[in-house]
Amino acid sequence: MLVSLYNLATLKFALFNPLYFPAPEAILNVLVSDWQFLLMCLLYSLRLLGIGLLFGISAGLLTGILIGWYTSWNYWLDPIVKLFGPIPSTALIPIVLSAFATSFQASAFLIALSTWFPITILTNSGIRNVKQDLFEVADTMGATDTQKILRVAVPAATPDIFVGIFNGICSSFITLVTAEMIGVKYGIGWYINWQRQIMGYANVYAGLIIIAVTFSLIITIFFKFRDHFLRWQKGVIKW
Amino acid sequence: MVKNGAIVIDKVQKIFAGQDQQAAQIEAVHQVSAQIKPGDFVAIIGPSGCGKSTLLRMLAGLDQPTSGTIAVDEQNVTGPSRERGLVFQDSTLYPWLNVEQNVSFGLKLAKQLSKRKDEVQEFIDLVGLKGFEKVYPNQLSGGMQQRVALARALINYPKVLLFDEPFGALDAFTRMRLHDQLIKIWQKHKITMVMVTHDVEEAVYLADHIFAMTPRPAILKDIVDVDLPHPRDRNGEEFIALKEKVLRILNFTGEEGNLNENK
Repeated sequence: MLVSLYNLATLKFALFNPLYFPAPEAILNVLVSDWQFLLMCLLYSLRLLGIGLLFGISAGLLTGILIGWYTSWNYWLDPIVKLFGPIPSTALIPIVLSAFATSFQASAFLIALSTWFPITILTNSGIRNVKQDLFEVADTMGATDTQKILRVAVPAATPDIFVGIFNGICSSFITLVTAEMIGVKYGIGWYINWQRQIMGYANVYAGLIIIAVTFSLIITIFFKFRDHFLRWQKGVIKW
Repeated sequence: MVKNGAIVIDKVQKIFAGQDQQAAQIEAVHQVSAQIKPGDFVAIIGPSGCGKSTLLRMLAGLDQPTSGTIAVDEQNVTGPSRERGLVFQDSTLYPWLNVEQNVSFGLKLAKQLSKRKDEVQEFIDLVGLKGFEKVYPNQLSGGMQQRVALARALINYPKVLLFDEPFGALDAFTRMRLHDQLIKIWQKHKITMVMVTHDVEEAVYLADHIFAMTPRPAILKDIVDVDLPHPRDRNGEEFIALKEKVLRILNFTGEEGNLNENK
């Protein structure tokens, strides 16, 4: 329906400027004829995203657990988290680009940074909200501190941690596309920006479609993971 | 099977500091001394908020007495330990673990799970939850949850098993069924059991000795020995007489006493 409406509006009646709103055939043509290059760009983007997410999620979990569990870590780290976390990581692009050797490293860092913040905050709050009883029961079964963190605090905080990871992934998408438009060579964001500059709007749309499909696929996979990990909450989670 | 689990409570006192310097200190437990023999079933009874839970938490090692000592088998209690299991009023099962995983939690902590895997099923059967191994706690009824909590504590073979109003949130029928089940388990394992409760009938039905406490601060007022064989008849003459005796000690019989308690 939407496609045929769009088809009518562009190709048949030329309601919009065909330069900026190319016909569906043109977009399809790009997807078919340019697929090898687009795939390469997509793989570049996924590699950057993957590395950024990997570091961002692990760092977020680590700092979240540290400030959630240890008062001394909380005292020193919490202000730093509260200070640097809310800065939109894209605002740091000028500094980060000059601080890292390659723009790839810089972008990976920015993605990690934007993922790290929500995960830290929600892991921390998840751990702080665990009922004291659950730790006391573990105490009467002879649990060590490490066991209480790994076997009680973290699993009890998983519902919050997943909200954090979800937010982190969403902001990583924004950072990825922005970073690619500014610094990195190759990648879907870079492709869109480049095609815009040479007025290849059919290619821009093709790139956008690929982004939409890929990102929603990533989120779907993430939800599958969450459903598996939180199966004990069946009927309780509502998102 | 001979098991230890002798408890000596010596002049135990617990004072909670006030919120700030001006606020009065609250004395929750005052100079309680008592001895519990191995394999005894003791009920600590008293009105709500009388400090009996504080006493139990000190037995578990979760709170430290301000003065006085508690010793289990001549070893002073300084912190929580596997030797003293605890069952709370609300189910404190780990909601992300199924029944089987909850029961085996203690074994996993002690890295004994591979050696004692068969026992997990044994203890699940013991509390009558065969067939529920893979079920998560939020799908179980309150009574079933408490039975899982019991199995989870028992599997560590504690010398002492402590209960903080374990059946308080359950309906009367479930409670009575669990009483019988608990007595069977107690007779089989011969563990020293200490249960905090505010239900006089529960105390008389289960315990060998009833510690009657008075509130704020908790003072051990009297010990009532229940010398009736199990299973006990809830409507028997002696049973009712003992119930009345406990109520009288707690000042709950005469109208005057009642008014004093509710002031």
